[in-house]
Amino acid sequence: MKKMKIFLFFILLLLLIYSVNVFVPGETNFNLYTYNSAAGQLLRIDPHTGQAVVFHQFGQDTSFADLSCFSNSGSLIAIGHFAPENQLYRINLLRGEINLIGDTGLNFIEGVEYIPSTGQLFAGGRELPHHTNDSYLFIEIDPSDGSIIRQQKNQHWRH
Amino acid sequence: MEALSGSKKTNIGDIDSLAYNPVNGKLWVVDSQPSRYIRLWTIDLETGPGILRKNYPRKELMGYSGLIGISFGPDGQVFGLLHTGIKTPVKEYRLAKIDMNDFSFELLPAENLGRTDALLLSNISGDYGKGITENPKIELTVTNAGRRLISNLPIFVNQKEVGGEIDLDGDGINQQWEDKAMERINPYIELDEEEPWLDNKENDFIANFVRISPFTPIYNYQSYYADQLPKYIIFRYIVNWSEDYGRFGFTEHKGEHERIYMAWRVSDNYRLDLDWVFNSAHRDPDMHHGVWNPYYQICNKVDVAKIPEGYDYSMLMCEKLMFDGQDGRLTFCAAEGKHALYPNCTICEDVLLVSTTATGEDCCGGGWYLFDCYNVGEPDEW
Repeated sequence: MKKMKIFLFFILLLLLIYSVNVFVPGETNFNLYTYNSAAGQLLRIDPHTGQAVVFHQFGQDTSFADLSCFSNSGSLIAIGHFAPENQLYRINLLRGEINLIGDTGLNFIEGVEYIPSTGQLFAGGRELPHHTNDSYLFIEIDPSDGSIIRQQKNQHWRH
Repeated sequence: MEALSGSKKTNIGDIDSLAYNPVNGKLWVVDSQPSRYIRLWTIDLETGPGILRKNYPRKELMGYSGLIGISFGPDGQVFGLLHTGIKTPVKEYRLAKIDMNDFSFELLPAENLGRTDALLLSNISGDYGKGITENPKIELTVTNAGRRLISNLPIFVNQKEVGGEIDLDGDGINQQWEDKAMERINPYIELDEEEPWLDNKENDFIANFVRISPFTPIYNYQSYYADQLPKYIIFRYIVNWSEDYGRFGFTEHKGEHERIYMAWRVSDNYRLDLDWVFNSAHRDPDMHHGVWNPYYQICNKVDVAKIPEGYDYSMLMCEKLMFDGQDGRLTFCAAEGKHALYPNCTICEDVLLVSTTATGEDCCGGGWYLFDCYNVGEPDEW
């Protein structure tokens, strides 16, 4: 009987450890965001399920090509999508506001990313029209006003 | 803008999106040609060429046409936003987790992100920092060699928050922002090496009383908030000394205050640009004031050397402001004993205090100091 009790104790202990590992989800406040230009919505995506919910309804006619986390500020930095030009915006997640930062003066940027450790903002894209341009540009932008700090033209090397 | 050093050949066809890995500091490029390939590259931050890390040919795309982009989580986990269809409207979006060891996709359960409405999505972004929390901290950055102040959070509160918990003095400026900004742009005061306070720190004290207030010239409307920004935020630093030691003991007295005012233009609710700076000395024989521009030299005609009485000596002070090369703080010099403030040492030491002698101000060599700041809010009488 004593051996049975010890056995049951270990079984219960194992079950307890298993339940802690399996049934208690890890806490995270990490989320993904995307902008739905079809409806002027910022969507928040659960990285565990891939399910998106409307986080802010802006209801304005803005189209973004790319978003990037902007420091630890509770905001995203976003680059406007083509028309009329690539303007740089800040999306405040807590307040649900979009503010214009500045105009890059370009019209072909598709990717933008902020590097929090250095405070640099990088962008890239291929000059328009695409069928006559095989060079992409890698650009550093001043995140405070959208002006171009430097840019490097890189020609696609065809095989 | 930096000049180009000539184009470089690379295999990157296009930059469709960028993503930063906070764990190893690499910047990734997604080059997606729908229904043809998806290529993932890392890119050299200095020069732009990339290194191909993964080429997904069409057959590896699991029926999807392309990748809108990828994003990294705070621990380096990677997510990608896949899509079907080549032209808009896109038929389906799907979030996938990407294992960067073998670049395999794991599709997350929600088909079309669990949505049935019309979607036209940008690339995804995660929060690879400390997490987007309900109470993010204010972070201030000084750029343009001390002439631009950037906030990560809004400077002005919403109209309904004016005078509330986050705007205690009711001026529309976030209280926490005021306190942080006051410290961040607190100017250095350089003392003279023979400054008497340096030998009297135990008994004599210095502190800055600071008022931070919105201001629009020739405009009577006094209420400001996020949707109604002023032209300027004025930082008034009153440098208070418990003892004015006089010059060689003359005109010594208890208590004095000198002034440094800064007019920061409100470019938007996150950014200020320094337009003008005012400084002053409070009492004869070196009483004067000047207005300075942060970018170019300004000349101020000032009255100094009023000893002997009746003698009024005017001089022209022409100078540029000084900003510290490390952290961009504005720097002023306090003259020995009487603590009149000057934009630099040369101007200070050109000032005569007694017209008939060579007795003048003495400045610099005693070290740079940041004095404690106290936010006085919006006093009734100022």
